[in-house]
Formats: sequence, structure tokens, C-alpha cells
Amino acid sequence: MDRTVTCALSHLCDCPTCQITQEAFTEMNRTNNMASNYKKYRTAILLGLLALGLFLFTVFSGLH
Amino acid sequence: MSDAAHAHAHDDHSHHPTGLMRWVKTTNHKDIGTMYLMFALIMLFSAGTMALLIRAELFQPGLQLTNPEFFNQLTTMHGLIMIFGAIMPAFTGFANWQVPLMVGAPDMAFPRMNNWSFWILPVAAIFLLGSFFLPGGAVAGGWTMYPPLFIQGGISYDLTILAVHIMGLSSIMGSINIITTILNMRAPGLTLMKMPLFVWTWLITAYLLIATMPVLAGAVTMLLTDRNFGTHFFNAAGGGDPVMFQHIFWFFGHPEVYILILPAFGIVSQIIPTFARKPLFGYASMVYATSSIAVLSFIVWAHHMFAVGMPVTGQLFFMFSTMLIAVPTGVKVFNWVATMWKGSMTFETPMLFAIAFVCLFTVGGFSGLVLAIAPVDIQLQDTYYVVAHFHYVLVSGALFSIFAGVYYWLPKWTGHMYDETLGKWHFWLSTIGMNIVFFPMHFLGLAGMPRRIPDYALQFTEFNQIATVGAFIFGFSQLIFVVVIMKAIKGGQKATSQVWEGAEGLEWTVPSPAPYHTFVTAPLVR
Repeated sequence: MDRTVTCALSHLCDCPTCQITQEAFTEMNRTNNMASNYKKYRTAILLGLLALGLFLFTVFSGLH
Repeated sequence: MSDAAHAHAHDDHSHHPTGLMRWVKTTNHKDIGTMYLMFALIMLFSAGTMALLIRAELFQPGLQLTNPEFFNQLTTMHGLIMIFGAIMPAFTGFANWQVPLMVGAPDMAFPRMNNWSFWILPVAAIFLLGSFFLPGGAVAGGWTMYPPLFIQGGISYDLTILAVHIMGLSSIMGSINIITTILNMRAPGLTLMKMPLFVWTWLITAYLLIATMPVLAGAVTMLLTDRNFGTHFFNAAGGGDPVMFQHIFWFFGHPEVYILILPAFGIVSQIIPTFARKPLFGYASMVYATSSIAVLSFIVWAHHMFAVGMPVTGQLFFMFSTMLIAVPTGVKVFNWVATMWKGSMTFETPMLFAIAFVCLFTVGGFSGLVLAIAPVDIQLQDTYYVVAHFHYVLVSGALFSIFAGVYYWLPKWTGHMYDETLGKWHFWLSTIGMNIVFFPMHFLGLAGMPRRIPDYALQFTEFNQIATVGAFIFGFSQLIFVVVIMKAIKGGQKATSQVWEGAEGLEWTVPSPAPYHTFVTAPLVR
């Protein structure tokens, strides 16, 4: 079964509508979800550590 | 409606909680976005009321309505609440609503953390507003919280420090959510350089927040320990350095200005192409200009401290680096004008506010350049010229872009078109009122009227009276904004999914109002 997905950013691409199969689409989403779950936690932890590091750096700078 | 939009409508889960607990427990980005926006509106009116009290007091010389202590409480709380309670939460509300819709994500990356990010904000607001009722009243040391004054105050100072911690935590959590969503949850095919400008500006803003909010948290933590635990970080009597606080504060404070204005650039960059019916001119240069502004914002902080005293080399460095920011900002203004150039323009309310933004923000930018000149700044330091400058940036800049964004996306949010006539009334009264309030302040500042005083010399009377009349026009015209929003929520002409003829982007492929769950299946962008 084909599924039409609108190319929403039409000014950035050539074709107004693009075709992709439902199976390929579902598989792509499943793969993306697993990968993005790992990636999003990694991103969040890194950002959180950066914020914590900056806070501690500021306070320890004050100690000097 | 596109096929994709139909698909999203069918994907919509039937689960749609109702009642009060829906709002308390919600993890839905649209609900949380709505709560941020409503919270910001309430804070806008709270701090706006304080502004009207300030202007009423300044209508004529002498003390009429307030005593000096209460006046200083009003100016301090007006600044703190407008920045941390109104403008920042409003932009976060836009981010919550629009970023997932624009990148084709089903929700924010961490919905539960998103809920917490919002719900700690009202607690901070209660601390801030409640401090008016404590012994000694609210904080009166200015929104910059400079020691030694801030070390000496009563219990409300501790509450304010706690509130700043909470608001900072909220911002950091919100930023982590936004960055993670944008970097990891974009629809297949939506590369970074295809992202809408609003998403780009919020990505950069979120990085700015993560880099600066911990610094502010560190500074106020040191204030807190100085006040309560006998440390002497900023207490000169104990070997501390109060000027160090200013350096740390402005290392946060100047990027904060861009935190307040970069999302505004993003909103305007969405609106102008829509109503000019042309793609944004110089998309890539817009991205690079925004990034440049963000980087430069970290090396200019001491231009707020020329009058404190620093070596000439330092003055020159901070003067020229500040002026350098005019280059990427000029690129942006040029691109907005070039987008409008020969476009098929129409002037609906969002476009009117966007055009006013471009014109009036530029006025604020130019007065910023004047203040960047070190010898001039020493003359104008702490005068009404500075007040005029940052209100042109934050009212006709940040606030007008918020108005523009609300009018632009309100049909998508509510499913109804807003009342265009009332919208135009709101625009014209706001624009005229805003200029009547703040333009005369340039003259007052140049003539030497200091800021943060409830009384003034007779020669400043006329311009102050004009400013006060303008303030009441501007203030009461915001009631029209509330009426427009309420009318659109209640009903009105049904909005199509596209809403605006020239609008482009994923958010316009979903029905209006946007279903409770969107993009459960990611769309494909080519």
C-alpha cells in the first residue's frame, strides 16, 4: 500500500508530493525511534552535565 | 487538507483528558505550551500594572502615590517579572507549541520533564509576587540584584534568590528538552539547514540558556551564602569583591538579552515570508547571523559596566565587540526587508506587528550602538536613555513579536480566525502608545534624568507627562488583545489547515485546531 506524504517545505524541494511505501515508512520509524531514544538521553545527559559544570565552575571561581 | 494531514487526523488518539487534572498532569506539548502562554499573559498584566503605577507616580514631580521604597520595589519587580515571568515563558510557550509541529515530532523529547518545567514556574511567581506582603516589602535593589544592597535586605531577598533559582532550573530543563527534540526527533529528511528559522533561533537560544543560566544560579547562590552562611564572596568588608558579582551577572545578563530577542527573530522570520508570499531572503545567512550574535553575546558583557571602571584596553575591546554585533543584526534586518521587497504583501495583524518589529527594534538597536560608545555611555549610564533603549528592544522587539506570533498561530491553536478589526485596533493603539511612552525617554535621558527615582526636577515634567499618557494608552490597549484571544477560543470563522495563503511548513499540514496528538507517524520531508 502506498502512502502519500506531502512534502511540506515545498520551497526547499522540487517535488510537491512524494511516494513512499507504508512498510518502508513503518520500518524507518521503528529504527529511528530506537536510535533516537538512545541519542536523546545521551544529548540530555551531556547538556545537563554541561549546565552543572558551569554552575560549579562559577561558584568555585568565586572561592578564589 | 493534504493526505498527510488526513493521516495525522486519523492517527489522533481518542484519549483526550478533561478537567483540572488534565492541566496539572498533562505531558502534551500543546497543553503545556498553552499553559506557558497563559502564565506569561497573567505575568504580563501583573508587571504591566506595576509599570502603570510607576508611570502614574512619575506623571508629575513630587511623591503622589508611592513612597521611594515602594517605588523601587515596583521597578525591581516589574523588571524581574517581565523578563523571567512574561517574555521568557511566552517564548517557551511558542517553542512548546510550535517546535514539535515544525519538526514533525509527536511531542517534546521528555514530556514529563516538560510538565515539571512549567509547574515550578508558578511557585517562583508566587514567591516573587508574595514578597510584596512580607515585612519590608518586595526586593528593591533592581532586577540586577547587585550587592551590597542585595546582601542587606530582608526575607524577600532570600525568596527572590530562590525564585531565580527555580526559574533558572525551569529554563535549563526546558532548554534540554528543546535541544534534544530538535537534534533527535526531526522528521526524516528535515535536515538542519531545512529547519524553519523559528526552530533554528530556538535551538541557539536553548544553548544560550544552558550556558548562562547556571552562571546566574552560581552568582545568586553566592549571594545566598553571603546573606545566610557568613561567606564573603561579594562583601568587601570580608575581603570579597562586589564588582565580581557585576561581571558574573552580566556574563549571564547580556546573553539573556539575546535569549529574549532571538526567538523574536525566529517568529518574524516565519511571518514576513508568509505575508510577502516569498521565501525568506538569505536563509543560510540568517542562520549564520543568529549563530554569530549568540557567540558575540558572550564577549560583550562589560559594556554594562563602563561606569564601574576598567582599563582603556578593556573599554576598547568591549566597545568594539559590542559594535560588531550590529553586523549580523544588520544582515537580519536587510534580509527581512529584502524578503518584503517586491513581494505580494498583505497587511494582516501578524504582518503589521512584524513590520513594526523590524522598524522599532532597529531604533532600539541604534540607541544600543550609541550606548556602546564608552565615553557616551559614561554620560548616559543610569539615565532614561537606557530605559528608552531597552524598552525599544524588549517591547517593540520581544513583546511585539509575541503579539505577532500569537495572531499568526492562534487560528492553528484554536481552530478559529481571530477578529481582524480588533487585531488592527490592538496593533495601532499599541504601536502609537508604545512610541508615546518610550520615545520621549530618549530626550529625558539625554537631559540627564536618572532612572529608578520616584521624584524628579521640574524641567523633566512635560516629557514625563507625555510618557505617562502613552503608558496608559499602551497598557489599556492590551485588554483588546485579551478580548481577541477569548473570542478566538470561544468561536468565530473556522480556520483552514493552511490558514494563511503564503504559509509553508509542517505545522500547516495538520488540521486547525491542531489535533491533540500530531505526527504520531513521522512525516517525510524532501
